[in-house]
Amino acid sequence: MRRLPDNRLKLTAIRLAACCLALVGLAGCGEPPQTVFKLNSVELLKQEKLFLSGGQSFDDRYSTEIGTILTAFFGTPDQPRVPKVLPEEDPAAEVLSQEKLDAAAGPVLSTLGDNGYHGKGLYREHCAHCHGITGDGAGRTARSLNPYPRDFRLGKFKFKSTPLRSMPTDDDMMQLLVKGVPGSSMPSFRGLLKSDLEALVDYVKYLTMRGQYERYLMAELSNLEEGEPLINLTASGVQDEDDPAKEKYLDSMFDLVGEGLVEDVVERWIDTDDNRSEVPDAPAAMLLDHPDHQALVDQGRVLYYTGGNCAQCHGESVAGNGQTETFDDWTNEWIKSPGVDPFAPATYADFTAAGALPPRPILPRNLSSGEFRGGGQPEDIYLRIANGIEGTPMPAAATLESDQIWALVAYVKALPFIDVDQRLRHKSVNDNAIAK
Amino acid sequence: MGVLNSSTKVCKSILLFFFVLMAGCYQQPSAENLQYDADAVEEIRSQVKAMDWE
Repeated sequence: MRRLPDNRLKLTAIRLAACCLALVGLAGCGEPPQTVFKLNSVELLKQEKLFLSGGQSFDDRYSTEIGTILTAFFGTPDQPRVPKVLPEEDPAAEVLSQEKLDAAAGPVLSTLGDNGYHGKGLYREHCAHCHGITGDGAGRTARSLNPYPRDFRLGKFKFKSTPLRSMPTDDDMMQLLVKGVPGSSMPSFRGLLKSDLEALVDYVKYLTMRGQYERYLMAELSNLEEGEPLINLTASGVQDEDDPAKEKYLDSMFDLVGEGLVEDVVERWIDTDDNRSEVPDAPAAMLLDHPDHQALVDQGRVLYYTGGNCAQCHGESVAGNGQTETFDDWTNEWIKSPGVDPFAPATYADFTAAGALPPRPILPRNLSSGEFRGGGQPEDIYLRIANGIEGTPMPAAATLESDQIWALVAYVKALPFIDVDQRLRHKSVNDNAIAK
Repeated sequence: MGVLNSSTKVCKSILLFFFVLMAGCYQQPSAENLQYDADAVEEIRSQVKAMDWE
């Protein structure tokens, strides 16, 4: 048997030791499981840039005070709370269930039952790696996904049956969990029990409310005088209601809790079913074998290039290449801060250091792909056109009648079957018709 | 010559070790953890309960 020379043996041993140490290092340096909420540092930085001069920062104690107020109402990732204010008939109790929050929160303890998962820690098991523990859309896998996972804290949802600036219904959120979002990294969770899905819906609503309230609190900082706390707890014991300190305490409680939490955040989620947009019955010509179907498609084609103004963003070839340098609201939120240019990374390095994901322009849907993120049923597409898509440049078609919207739906549904040369010929035919 | 060769390899191994170690320790920028005052949390909860919201 051949023996290795001593110096080679030593070298091999050193290499082996180096590899072992590196592995230990890798294991030791890995991020431990995150069980705490994150501060919305990006929003705080934005507020500082908007309201403080000369690169100043808010005092650190404001971050702690915001954390304290949020924790008082919303609890922690392991012990979430329905943010109740009133002892009875509290609005928050109408929209969130403590039992469901408890099923979705905490560490992963789900077990595989006879017919699916029986949940505990469902959010951390299924959602947190993309959406983050805080629902900030910055989970560990977020950076490598396109589009980025949704940041719930802005309180905007793209795919819903309700109009712009209103919250989605529980059923909208349930549908999204069941169907997933085609063309994105959001999968279908059809395999989960209905009770588990309902728990996740409530938990996403909870994270959204918490994030909305955090933003409200941060916006309040600019109204404070130097050194003034958001809530002066020490003044609560003052008996004289005319005492300025007591007055300020009461004002802040009504502003921050009564108005900020209850009216601005929680009540927006009440009776969302009442805001649902009606989809009028589709015309018979929507049927592919109807004699007037082609005429409906042609009407939609004309609208695409004219009254619907669709080509401006979706492109003349419908490939989604008309407008490629706009951003969604989640990015616009901070890139519109003073001095930030989304195409110059050096101008926003402080935002990415604070946790913002590098800005990416939002691309209009390539309508020839036949893939629709908000659902490909005619009714889904009707809603996207009629109501627009929240948080994106896609506007609501306020000037179109329902029969025109149905014509656009017919055209959009037909597009994957029309080749690009023919689409561009359509465009030139339309231009000639308009010129005449 | 052999000694020099061997020490170069040792240096390479050490450099490789630090490189892998640093790669493992790199963490993406992230927002800071939320800090809160646990006593004040309870104080706020009890004051909210005691408030006359009418």
